[in-house]
Amino acid sequence: MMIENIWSFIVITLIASIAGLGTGWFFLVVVERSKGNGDNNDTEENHALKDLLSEARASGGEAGSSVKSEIESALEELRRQRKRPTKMEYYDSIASLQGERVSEIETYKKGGGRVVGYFCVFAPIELIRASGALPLRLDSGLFCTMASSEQLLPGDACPVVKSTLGMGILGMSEYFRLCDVLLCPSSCDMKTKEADFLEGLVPVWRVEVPRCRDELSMQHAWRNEADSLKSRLEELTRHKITRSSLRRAIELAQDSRAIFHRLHELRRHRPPLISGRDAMMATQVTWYDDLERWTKKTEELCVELEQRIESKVAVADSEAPRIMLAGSPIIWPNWKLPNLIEGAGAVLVCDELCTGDQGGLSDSVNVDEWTMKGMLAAIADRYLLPLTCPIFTPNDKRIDKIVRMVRDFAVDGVVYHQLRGCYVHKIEFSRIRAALKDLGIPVLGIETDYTYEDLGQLRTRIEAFLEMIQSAKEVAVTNSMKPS
Amino acid sequence: MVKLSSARTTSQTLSFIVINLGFLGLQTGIPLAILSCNFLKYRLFDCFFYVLQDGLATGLQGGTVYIYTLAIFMVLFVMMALLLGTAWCAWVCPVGFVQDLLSKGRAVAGVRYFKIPDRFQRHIKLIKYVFLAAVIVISLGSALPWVSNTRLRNSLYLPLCYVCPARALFVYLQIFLGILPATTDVPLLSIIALPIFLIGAIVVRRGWCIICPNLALLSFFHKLNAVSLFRRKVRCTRCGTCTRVCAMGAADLETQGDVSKPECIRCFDCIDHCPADKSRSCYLFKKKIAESKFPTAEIRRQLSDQA
Repeated sequence: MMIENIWSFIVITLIASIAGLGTGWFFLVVVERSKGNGDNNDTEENHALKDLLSEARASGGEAGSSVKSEIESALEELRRQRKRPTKMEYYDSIASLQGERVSEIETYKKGGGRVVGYFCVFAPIELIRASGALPLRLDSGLFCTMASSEQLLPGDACPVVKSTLGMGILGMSEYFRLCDVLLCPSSCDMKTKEADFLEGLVPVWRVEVPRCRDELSMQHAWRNEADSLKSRLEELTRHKITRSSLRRAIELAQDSRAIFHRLHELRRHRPPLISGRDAMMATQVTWYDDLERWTKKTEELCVELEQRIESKVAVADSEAPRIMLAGSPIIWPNWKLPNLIEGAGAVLVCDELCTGDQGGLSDSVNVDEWTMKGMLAAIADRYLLPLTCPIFTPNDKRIDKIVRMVRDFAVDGVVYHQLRGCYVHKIEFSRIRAALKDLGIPVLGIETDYTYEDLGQLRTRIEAFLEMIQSAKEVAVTNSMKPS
Repeated sequence: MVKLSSARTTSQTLSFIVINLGFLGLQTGIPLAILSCNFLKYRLFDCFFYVLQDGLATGLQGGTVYIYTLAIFMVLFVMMALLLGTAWCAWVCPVGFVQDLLSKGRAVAGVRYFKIPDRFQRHIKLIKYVFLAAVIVISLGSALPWVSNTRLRNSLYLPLCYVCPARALFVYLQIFLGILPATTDVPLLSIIALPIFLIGAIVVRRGWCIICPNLALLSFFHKLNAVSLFRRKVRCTRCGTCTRVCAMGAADLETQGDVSKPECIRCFDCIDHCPADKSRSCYLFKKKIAESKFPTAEIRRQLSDQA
């Protein structure tokens, strides 16, 4: 009797719970999902944004062919260099922003891969790669796409943002089109507000970059950002980031960093083995390229340069003024300033740009313990603390870094690039100039844009600057030769 | 330049075997400037704190011989402190070695350590001086004539040894290895302190070292010894790696030049991990023995073998 009661009790409970769970599932999942589909329809606000963007697209006009010609002419300029390393051909093919690399990414996407576009230097590529997604940096240096975003942004907006936004609006860049999501850091004002427009094109993840990064609470907040980015990535790719996958991603990136460091060290050689233009392009190619292949190719480039030391091949003679570039970003294919400086007989030995030596591969991720939290903390610290972006305050380490590079690379003069509308870089100029004045290093501040209108005027100023350096050198040489 | 962490592990392992496992079957009776238990059999070196407490308590009761012995060993201690300073803790001390081993095990298991918040660090660093003062005052007090109660005197005599977790740890280790008889007496407080010590080693890495009275003694010589740690600010990228690596909370991004702090135990893990070329360096007798380097592929391999 007893046993029968128990059995009937169990059966009834089972049936009741299955029925209950079933109903619950029906309401929660099926009904909510159908409701959710309704919600996903564009809201009125999004409609307004999309209308605005399509209007801008219409005003942008025919930029399609000019993108190609702009990149081609920039590549032509590079190919015209004397004694260019033969291994640079590989970078040319990636830097054309179309062709094989695009079809590679397309195949990757067809296989279920996800692409995460990012801006600035705060995106942890190790974390993105550990989740199985592909990171692409999308900051643009194209001049022809700027027209389309002119009416959306204020006239004195920074050209990087104008160009990037225009590129997105016009759908000019294949890389932009392939992105599943954009990682937008709140770095400077322009970049922060750029996300508000990009939202109409591609889903956007905003990342809060703390400006007073020396505060411990801010560093904690940034680590929390890294944690939340990790879970967002896991949701996007449906791959869990595990200890081993993250470790592998960090180690692969570290291999690339070691090679980057080797290339960087080779640029210290006197006479110069590679022109600054080429080295900068090789660096920026990492934004789009497969990192492992880049590492292999760059190792080959380093070997070629090391052979040049023995065979005494150089791109310029030892007496050519050694110039360092600092300031606002210089982005491929806008090689206006590097072309002017190197065209006038100087050589760019190093730079402090966020699109060059400071971005991506410069500082290493230093893991003290290979635990999940340890790796995340190391990544978070790497993408906040050693960076010298001028949005941070205080930013004394930037001056230290410039001084260090000036000494290491035996720099004769610094060209400080200031883009119109790039206020943070302009603000830091006076302090950096003062610090370099103490070292006796001449500084040339250049305020310019993506346009080519001021080419003649800039050339005159740069030539005068280089002449001044040359004559100062000659005076120093004659002084040292005088019997004391 | 060699990576210092592997050299340090070798040095620690050797001293652990020689001092705590009775490896050579010898006993010199000379104390080193480290915490190595005095209740062990065949220990090559004695514990300085045993000698100190014993000398103070017994000496004050009229054992003049003890005072002389203590004076000799004090001079020896000062000489050792002037030679290596706090480097004894990271390179020789077996208690530190056990903590490092436990910490490595935790890292392999994939658990992150707990970092003591900076606002507490300042106060926690003072605990070791209070501990040192308490040890000295109590062992002196036990010798006062009015402490006539023998039981009270016996429990006040050797105050550190009554609570020292290393005593329980190493005595039980020797019992386990069959060196000491199983009947060896270990005080209850020492047994209670052992699990706290183990948890401290696992959770905050060098938990014991933060409050260790021996480090308090050695730290008086932190600027006066042959081992020093330097940081060049202009080379530093301020990436914060050293602050994560340092188990003693002694690394910061502000001070420059000679950054040998009182709580720095000269493990030089910060030099091994520092990615900035020539930013951090250590000197022995004004001779540079190591400096930081950018982590090239080779250096990284050495480091991950360690981890």
